[in-house]
Amino acid sequence: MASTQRRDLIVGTFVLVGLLAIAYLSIAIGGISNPVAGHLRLYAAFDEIGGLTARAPVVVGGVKIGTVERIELDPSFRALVTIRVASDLKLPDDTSASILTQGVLGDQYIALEPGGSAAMLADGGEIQFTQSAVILERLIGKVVQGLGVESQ
Amino acid sequence: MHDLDRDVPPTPEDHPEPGEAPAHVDVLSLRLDFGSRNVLDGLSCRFAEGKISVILGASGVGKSTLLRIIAGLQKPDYGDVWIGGKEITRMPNRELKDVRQHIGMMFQHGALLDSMTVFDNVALALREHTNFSESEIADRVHAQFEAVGLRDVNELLPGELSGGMKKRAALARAMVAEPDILLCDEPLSGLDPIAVRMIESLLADVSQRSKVTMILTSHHIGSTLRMADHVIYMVGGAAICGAPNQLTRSADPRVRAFFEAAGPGEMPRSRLPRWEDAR
Amino acid sequence: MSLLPVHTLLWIVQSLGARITSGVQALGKMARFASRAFNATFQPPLRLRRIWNEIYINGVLSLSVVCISGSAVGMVLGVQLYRTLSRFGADEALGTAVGITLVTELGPVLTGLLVSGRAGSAMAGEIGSMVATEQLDGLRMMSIDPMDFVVSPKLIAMIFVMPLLSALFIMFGLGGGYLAGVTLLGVDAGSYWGGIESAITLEDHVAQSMLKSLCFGALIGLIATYRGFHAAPNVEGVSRATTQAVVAASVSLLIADYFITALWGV
Repeated sequence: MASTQRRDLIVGTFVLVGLLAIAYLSIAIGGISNPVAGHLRLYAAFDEIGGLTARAPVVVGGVKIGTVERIELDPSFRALVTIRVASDLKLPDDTSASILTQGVLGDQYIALEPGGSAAMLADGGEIQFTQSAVILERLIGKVVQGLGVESQ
Repeated sequence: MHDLDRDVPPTPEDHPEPGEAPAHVDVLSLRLDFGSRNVLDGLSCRFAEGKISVILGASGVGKSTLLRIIAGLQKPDYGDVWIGGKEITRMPNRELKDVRQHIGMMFQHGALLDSMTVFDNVALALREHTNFSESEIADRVHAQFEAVGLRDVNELLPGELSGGMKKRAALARAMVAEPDILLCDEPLSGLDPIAVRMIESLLADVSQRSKVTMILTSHHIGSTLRMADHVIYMVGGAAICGAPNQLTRSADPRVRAFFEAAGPGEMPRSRLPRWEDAR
Repeated sequence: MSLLPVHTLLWIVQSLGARITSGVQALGKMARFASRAFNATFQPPLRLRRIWNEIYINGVLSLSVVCISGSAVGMVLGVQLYRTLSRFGADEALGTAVGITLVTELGPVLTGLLVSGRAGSAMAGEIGSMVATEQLDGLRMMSIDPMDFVVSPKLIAMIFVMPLLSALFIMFGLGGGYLAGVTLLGVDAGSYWGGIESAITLEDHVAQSMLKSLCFGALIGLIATYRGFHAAPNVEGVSRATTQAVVAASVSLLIADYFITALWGV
């Protein structure tokens, strides 16, 4: 029956378009990382991570290249952060990692600055050079202290 | 009529009636209340195998309710219904499904599924429960259409059928699976006198050919007297049973009043003993 | 000292108690209905053709409502959020604001309410009139379980269709926001889309949105079919079933929305 066939076409199109919309939302906007490409895991230890949370972005020169996977305490009471980046990324082993804030009061993220070394970080490698987060209260405390010392 | 003081519901063996065909359906001491209203009170009757039995009575007396209880669509508060030696009111649903494969029911307004064509409606039971090929099913469905006198209805929707055609389609659907028992709820109501005669003869025809045990409800006295092998006259929540000529000659005042009011048509409501009066 | 006579107070307490009892009973009835419906769903036959038909009736026929409302809501969001954000000089964040609001809340919830009103009421009405015209009894007499034949396909279709409709609502909403914010109010197109892409993640937002849609679909499907199934077999009963279905589905949906939002990420 022609009407059933036409109806089938319409329903099929609807389902297809709907699924595409979900896929678009998930992948293009939501940003599923490409599951086909592998991942590299890198570690970085910080004295202070401030407000850094899991899933925070990891950027190089402002471009997001990975995310924070885990944050845990290592045996020497430093914060051990696990970063996940695409495996085709080649980072020199003297790359440094800093925790910065978006804007003045925004979310915190990790910025990587590639070094000049010829050797590259492999999966499971550790970033040696880290800079902890700036805690606003400590900064203000220092400024006040400094002012106090000066006035003496 | 049964003695309601007995604690144990009687079994079919308790009231043998000599000279009668074996009962296919046996109804014993049914009692049903709808809220505070009593509808059935100690109703017992038997429906002989292969015969046409008509449940007769005034509107509202409970004929459809009795039929629904026999069909298993309603459970009585007390009493038994025996179909082919099995008690159905306390049967689990799985078994009831099997019993129903041998029962066909024709509903008052057809009750065909509005979203499906007439063909698909009639074919439904076959498609669900048998392994017949589509062409075999088509043959059987068309044979039923022939038998009930329906032409060119395959692609029509139930909403496009006239009252008479709906009844025929409902009958076709009920009979397509070749049931042993056919239940018809008011098959003759809502039809003009000519259509009534046609459905009457159709049902008589079906009975002749297939020897199905037919149980109808009706308030048409004339048709009943013409068609029925056995009449179950409902009044006061109970039933007075007998062959048509037995009932027309009955001494019971309620039965007399009823049949005396008879013309070859519908019962005049006001002159009938109503179940409220009879109590 | 209460001014109300004692018997009025007693009456209030009594009717409250009766209401609560019948409410709990109704909940139990619904739970039993739901378990029968799901049982019927997972047992063969699968009735794919009927499910497909129901997807047409509930999904395709709800498309125009969803798309038009989605665009309209997106545009309103664009305008309203722009006003608020520009007061803080943050109008470049419009994309983020519109995106998150649509994806996590307005998308699933508004789609749910629209579908409940359109498809849910139709579903309840259809089943209710099938009860009134003895069609369900007809099925029973043919040894076909109405739960399996009628209820289950509708339920499955509703659950399946809701995320699809939600996603479309969201897409049209994002487009509407673009229309209002970028085209009409001059927000930079790049920051709009960039804001959306950076703020919305699969795990935090899209997954939550889809989960909500699935739950809402289940709620609407169950409530609408339940109300229809238990409608009084007359015209008034059917119409009452229809309105009750929409009200109950809408309220349950909003309550469920709270729980999912609050518990997400826990």
